Amino acid sequence: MKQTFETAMARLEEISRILAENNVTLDESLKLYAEGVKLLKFCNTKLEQAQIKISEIDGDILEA
Amino acid sequence: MADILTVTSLNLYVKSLLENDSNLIGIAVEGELSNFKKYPSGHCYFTLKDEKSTIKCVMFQSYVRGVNFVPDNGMKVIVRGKVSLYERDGAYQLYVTNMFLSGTGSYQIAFERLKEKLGKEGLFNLEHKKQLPQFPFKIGVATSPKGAALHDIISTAQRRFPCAEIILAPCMVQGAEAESTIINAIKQLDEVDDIDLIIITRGGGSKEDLWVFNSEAIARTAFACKKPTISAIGHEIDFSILDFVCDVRAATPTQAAEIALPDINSLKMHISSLERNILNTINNNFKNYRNNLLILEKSEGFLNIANRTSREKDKLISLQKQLKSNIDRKIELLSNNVYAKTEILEQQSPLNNLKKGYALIYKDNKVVKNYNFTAGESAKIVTDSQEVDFTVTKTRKRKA
Repeated sequence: MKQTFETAMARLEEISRILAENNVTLDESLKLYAEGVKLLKFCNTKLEQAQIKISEIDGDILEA
Repeated sequence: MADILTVTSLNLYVKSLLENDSNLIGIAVEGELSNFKKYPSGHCYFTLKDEKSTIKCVMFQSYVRGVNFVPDNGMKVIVRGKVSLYERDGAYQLYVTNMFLSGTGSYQIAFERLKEKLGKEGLFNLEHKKQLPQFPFKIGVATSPKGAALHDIISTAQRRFPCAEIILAPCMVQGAEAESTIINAIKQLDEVDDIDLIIITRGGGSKEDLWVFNSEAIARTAFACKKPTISAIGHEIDFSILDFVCDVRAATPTQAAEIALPDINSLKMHISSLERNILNTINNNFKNYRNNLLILEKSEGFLNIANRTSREKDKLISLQKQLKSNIDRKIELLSNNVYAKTEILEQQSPLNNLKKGYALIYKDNKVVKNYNFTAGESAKIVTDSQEVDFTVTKTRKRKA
């Protein structure tokens, strides 16, 4: 499935919750941490663009 | 006596008079609709009236399509068209090409009629409302490219969520052709795969300016959208039929963008807090594991094992010491023994005899015993203090 911002955020919340529950093995928590770091990078990259992009659906510009 | 005419020829004559009167061409008439009937063919027949008079009207299907409201009895309208005569009935009537609402009361009636109609069909029902996406990175906007609405949406999006992309589907937002361009714009945006939601909008204006957004066809198009829709027509006080059909109604274009887009600063803060949470919890988890290890190390069971191990080690060391001392003693014993033996050996050495006054005879560097010398032979005698080379002059048998 393609990673979307929504799914990445949802998974991050989940990882944060699972880690806080404190009943994961050290090995598992390291894996979750590594996954979390990747997702954080993905999300932060998506938010980097500082200037809104505007384009028209086709070339025709209609007068109001 | 004048010529006798047929009814048909009379009607046709009058008809030609009416149709060729320049005063009757392209006229506009205002009146109230009554006896309004729409036939399956799409043609509409009605009567236009005022306080004193009525006139029959017909509007053919091709013109009916251009009417941007649902005509109904009691509405005050202005119609344009031409005057002619229907030969079969000998009745003169208005052939209507355009129909506009006249007076706020009529607008209100038209609005209520359509709202009632679409409401009954269930177009406004909550179960049809789609949820807006949480993080729309691409939003479609159907509006005029020159309008204030687009400007408001862009500046709000830039402030709130600058990482988004706006896809503009330009359309007219007022006037006779607006309806079809709005429908087209909505449909186009709905076809773009990665557009997350559609905003249909125009800035403030008069009731007449905004009227097109009460179009039944636009309402049905918005209703059929696969993507979530937000309407933002005019100002807070303006309600359009489109507002009831769209998934969310925003009071203004600015508000539409505020509803559609998350605030990037709070989102970034939320992500940072998630990052901190994850980092803190994993650090705590590790700390807990380390603490547990320390506790375990100090636990009775573990200490017992450690003690036992240390006892075993002591035992081993003492055993080792014992073994070493045993071996040392043995070695000492053995070496004493060897020393003693060496002394005996030394005492028994023939060299020792030299000290007692004996001498050794060497022949060709070898000690000889019981050797029978012959005269002229050379040899060597070794005493305790000297080595003496000698030559035999005479030999004789030793008397026992």
